[in-house]
Amino acid sequence: MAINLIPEEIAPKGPAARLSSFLRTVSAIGLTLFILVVFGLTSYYLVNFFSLRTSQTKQDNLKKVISSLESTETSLILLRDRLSKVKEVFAIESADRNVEAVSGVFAQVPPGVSISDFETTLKKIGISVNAQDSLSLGQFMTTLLSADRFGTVNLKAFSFNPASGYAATFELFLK
Amino acid sequence: MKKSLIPPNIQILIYPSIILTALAILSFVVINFGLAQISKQSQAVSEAKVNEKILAEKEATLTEVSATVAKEAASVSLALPEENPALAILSQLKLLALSKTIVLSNIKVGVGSQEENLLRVNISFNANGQDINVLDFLSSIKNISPITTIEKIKMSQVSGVLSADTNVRGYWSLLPKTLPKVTEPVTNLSEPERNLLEKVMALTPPSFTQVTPSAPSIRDNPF
Repeated sequence: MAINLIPEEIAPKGPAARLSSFLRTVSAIGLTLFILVVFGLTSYYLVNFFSLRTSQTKQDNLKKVISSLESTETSLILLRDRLSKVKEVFAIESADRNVEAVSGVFAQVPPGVSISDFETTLKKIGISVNAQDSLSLGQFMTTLLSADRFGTVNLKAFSFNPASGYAATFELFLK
Repeated sequence: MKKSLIPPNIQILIYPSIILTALAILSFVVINFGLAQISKQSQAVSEAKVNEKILAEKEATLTEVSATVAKEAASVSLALPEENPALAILSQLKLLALSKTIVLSNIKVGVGSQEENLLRVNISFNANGQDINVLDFLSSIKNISPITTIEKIKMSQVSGVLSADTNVRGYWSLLPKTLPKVTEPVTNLSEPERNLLEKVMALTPPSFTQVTPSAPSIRDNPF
């Protein structure tokens, strides 16, 4: 049992004693909460700390593996770079399609018609032909017009010579 | 008995008040500091997790492509080299002409020019032969590696022999100079890139002769 040595007449009484008791209780509760919060924060910090350390260890291991695959990475970057440039090259307009179209025309030249000149640029194809008679020239023109590849067929020049026959120049545009 | 100057009613309030104030200040400081540290650390943890994921994906991608990527890169580098491909194109054209039994003459190589990322060289020549063979040759130019495109053709035909005055163009491009950082993600080729690669791999590569080094031999005494 605690012995109170303070004389009865000077011992605190009334509201002061109650306030003091309240403050002590609040302090005790506050201290307990403080300790709990500090414990919580420390635990969370430690969990994060170990998680970070584990992640960094994993990253270091992965970096080592990736370093050993550096030549593969270089090749992949080179491959991707080349492919992006190749795409640019393939997007450049070329007369390759015109050559294919003209090959088809050459394969279907009717008898009595000869191709004297042919010129192709990126945009158009020019063909000059000589025909012995109007029938063969007509057949050749039918060939040109029935070909699916050409969007426009222009007759640029046309002449007739009794000795050599008909001469015609066509300008063709692909679809 | 010595009497204190502070009344007992006040005296009993001093210590609890001091303790409570000290606890409040300490709580404020510790919680503020602790939360700041934890917030910083949480950010570091999430960044580490992101980096870890990127590295794991990168490692998986590189392992997946490691068996084939070097060959593919070599093929694409032949199709679009880092140096002027005029000689390789000429070699390819001559081999192609030989296989189509036509004759190439008046071969001229122009000066390289740059347009954006690409460098270009113009090559002109005259292809002579049977019309079918010449047309077949011209149609096959698009299938050779280094990539070659036809710019202009002017043909004239005299008694079944076709003469094609042809201008073609070759391309090259400088290689990338730097590797990305190790933590930067790397992805495998996309579907359009894969299709483009197949198209490039289908081109006929130039044939190179590899000279094997000869073994050291004893030199004869010339004296």
